[in-house]
Parts: sequence; C-alpha cells; structure tokens
Amino acid sequence: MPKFPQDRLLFFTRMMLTLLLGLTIIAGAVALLLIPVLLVRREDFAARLAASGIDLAGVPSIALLLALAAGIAVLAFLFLRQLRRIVDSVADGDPFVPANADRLRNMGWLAVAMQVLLIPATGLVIWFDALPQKPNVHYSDNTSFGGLVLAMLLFVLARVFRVGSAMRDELEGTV
Amino acid sequence: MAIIVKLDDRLHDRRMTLTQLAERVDITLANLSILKTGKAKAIRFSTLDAICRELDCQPGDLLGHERD
Repeated sequence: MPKFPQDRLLFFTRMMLTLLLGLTIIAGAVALLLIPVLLVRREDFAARLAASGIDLAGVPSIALLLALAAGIAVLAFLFLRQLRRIVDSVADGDPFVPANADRLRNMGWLAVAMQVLLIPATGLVIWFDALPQKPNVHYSDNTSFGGLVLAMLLFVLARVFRVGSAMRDELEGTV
Repeated sequence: MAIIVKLDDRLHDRRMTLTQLAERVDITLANLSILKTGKAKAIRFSTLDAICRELDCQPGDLLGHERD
C-alpha cells in the first residue's frame, strides 16, 4: 500500500486535529476547574449576581452550564481522537479496515451525545439571555439539525467503510 | 476450505517450477504461491485460463472439492 508522508493536506489536517485536541483538553479542564471555584465562592458570586438583578438560582445554573461544557469538551476530544486515528490510517495508506468503520460509528454516537448535551446547555443559555440583567454569557443558536445530520452521515459512512473493508479483504485473497 | 488446489501435481507432471509458471502466465510468484498453498479466497477466470493454457489442462485438473 502506498504511503503519503508528504501529502500536505493530510499533514495540515493532522496538525489542525492535534491543535483542536489540545484546545478541547484546555476548554474541558478550565470548565471543570471553574466549577469548584464557583461553588466554594458561592456567596461572593451570589452577591454579585444579586447586585446585577439575578437570583440565587444563577450560581448552580452556571455550575451546571460549566459541567455541560466540560462534558461536551470530553466528547469533542474523543470525537477528534477517533478522527485523528482515521487520518493516521489514511496517511499509512490503509484506510479501508474494519477499525475505521468502528471509529466512524463511535464518532456518530459521540455526535449524538454532544447534541443531547447541547439541549440543556442551550436551554440554560436562552434562560440567561432572557434575564433582565444578562450575565456575561454569549448566546449562540445551537439548536440546528446539523449535528444530527452529521451523526447520520457518520453512521452511513461507517457502513460504507465496513462493506469497503470486506470487499478489499475479498479482493486481496483473489488470485 | 473445501476447495483444494492441485497445482503442485500438474507442475510435477509438466516438470515445471512455480517460478517458471509465474513468468509464463504473468502472475506474481507471491500470488501463485497463495493459490498453490490453498490460501486464495477466489481465482479469476483469466488466471485459470492462463494456467490451464500453460499446463495444458482443464480447470477440473487444477481444482477439486473435499467434504469438510
């Protein structure tokens, strides 16, 4: 099988994935570290929130949002790690293997899980956004079907890879 | 596998080595070796045709079936 060590696109993709993997680790760690800080200094935060016109429920809500963000970061890390392994197998010149079919299926389930976590996270952000005195939380509309379409695409691709790897296996044994 | 390959017998009858056959039928020695040792999963008609032509035999002379 040919190898593609000099392929610029693959090299760039691998570099980007490594960078994104690092960013997900940092984002997840920051979110996780902020939760105990927020809970320990609960009174301080509550007082500040109250001064801004936000009731006491704000602190646990922010803690929950941080926990959801940490969960999404973990899922994103696992997703990107699977993708990185697929890209590595392409670079090695042997992508049509059953392991890649498993990876794509896993990525599909991870995409579904991220969408599930995004539902309460988006709900919380919308709630923050509706408060008279908005906390400094940036709202972006994540309630799209893009994630679910991605998951479905990954499940279909997993099937394609499974059939492809079986066909290649068959072809390799043909004289 | 239930299919057995009798290439060795035919080569012996024709006093031919696997390397010589590989050169004549233009198939790699590695692939012919896979066929000879019964590790092949399938054989192309073109391969069968080439081997039969060189060894002057019928496909049935090369392949047999054994009950498991």
